[in-house]
Amino acid sequence: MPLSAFALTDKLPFCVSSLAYAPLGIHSFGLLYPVLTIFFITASSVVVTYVCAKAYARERLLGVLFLGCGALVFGWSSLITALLFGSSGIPAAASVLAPGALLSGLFHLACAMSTRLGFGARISKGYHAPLWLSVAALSVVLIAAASLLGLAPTFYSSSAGATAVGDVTLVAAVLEFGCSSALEYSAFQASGSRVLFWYTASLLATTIGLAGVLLSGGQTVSVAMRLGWVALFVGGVLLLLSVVWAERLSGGQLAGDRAPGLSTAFIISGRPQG
Amino acid sequence: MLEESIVEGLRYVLGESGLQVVLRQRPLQVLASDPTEFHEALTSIFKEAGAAIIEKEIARRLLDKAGTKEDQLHRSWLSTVIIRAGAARRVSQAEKKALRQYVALADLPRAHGAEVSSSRHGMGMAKSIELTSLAFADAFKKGS
Repeated sequence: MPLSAFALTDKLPFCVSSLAYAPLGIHSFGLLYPVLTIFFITASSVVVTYVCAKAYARERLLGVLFLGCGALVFGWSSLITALLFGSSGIPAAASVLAPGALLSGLFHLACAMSTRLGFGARISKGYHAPLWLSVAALSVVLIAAASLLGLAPTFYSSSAGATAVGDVTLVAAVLEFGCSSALEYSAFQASGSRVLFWYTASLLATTIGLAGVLLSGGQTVSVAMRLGWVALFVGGVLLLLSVVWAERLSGGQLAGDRAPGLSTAFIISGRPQG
Repeated sequence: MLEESIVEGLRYVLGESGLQVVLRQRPLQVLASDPTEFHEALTSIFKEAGAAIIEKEIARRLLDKAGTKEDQLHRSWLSTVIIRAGAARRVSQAEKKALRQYVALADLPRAHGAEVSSSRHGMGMAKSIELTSLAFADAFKKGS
């Protein structure tokens, strides 16, 4: 069965639920935090980025490209945050998470505007995918380097907690993800596409997650912080579900020598159902 | 005239890249000289229904070039199809789009070059990812 591994992701929400208690002691779990981040956020972002790059190569939709960039930035900045959290402390981790979320939110907002408002909906040719994805990856590297070298602004102070810069950056990121979620929900209502539904849910969960981190004031033991991270994990799973749904639309029912996944109606009308 | 019609018809329906994909499977001279071979080449990619759409378009063009002199034609499938093509509408955008999806699939193994010898499972996975990405993009197109 094509992409049968994706079927496992059906169970992921239940896994997330069962792991919801893990963040309650996440700071003392050593490698658990990075492992959870890799499993729920980074792995999902890698799959989504790859699918978006392929989708862009075929259909030249700028929105899909921005979505891939946003997933890439958030997935990897979350992973670096998780790794720095254990090794370099909260200030270094915060200086990666906040700008990473801000940049990722910007990409998701561009995607939502492109999808709903038709901004730069389709471009004819060019090598935008490698360029934009490289820019996104380079941004993550620069953010991490700035954090490690101490060149980044102070987003979190060990003595005073979250700084104004950190708060403003996170508020901006929350607004970006929130607006993106609203726009994508509008697009979902217009199209009825379940792919957009899961993507919208993912953006909403990420918004809630970042809001939780913001409200915690950087206190890792606070409930808001822990629930925020659970929401971010759920967001990663939901983002993956949007791809899984696309896979089901395209390939779940048909296999073999027929064009896999293209229903007869799709062949004739050019439109998959759902 | 037949070769011209085949090239023009394939290019109109499938685009330049689609034309090249079909011609990579069978040379134009083979396609033009052996209608059975041509039909098989098309059905191997587009199945019976898709092949009929393309053949109608080619036949329609051939009919335009040849007028209504059916006695000029000695091809079994052409003689059948061309009669239908006389009244046939042009290939719609939706049909073109759907058939180009097939071209994308047909082109996949070649796109991977050295991986042509990879297992059927691997090719199935590649096709599945390709189709997933198409369905994913389609969702965003519908949202606008």
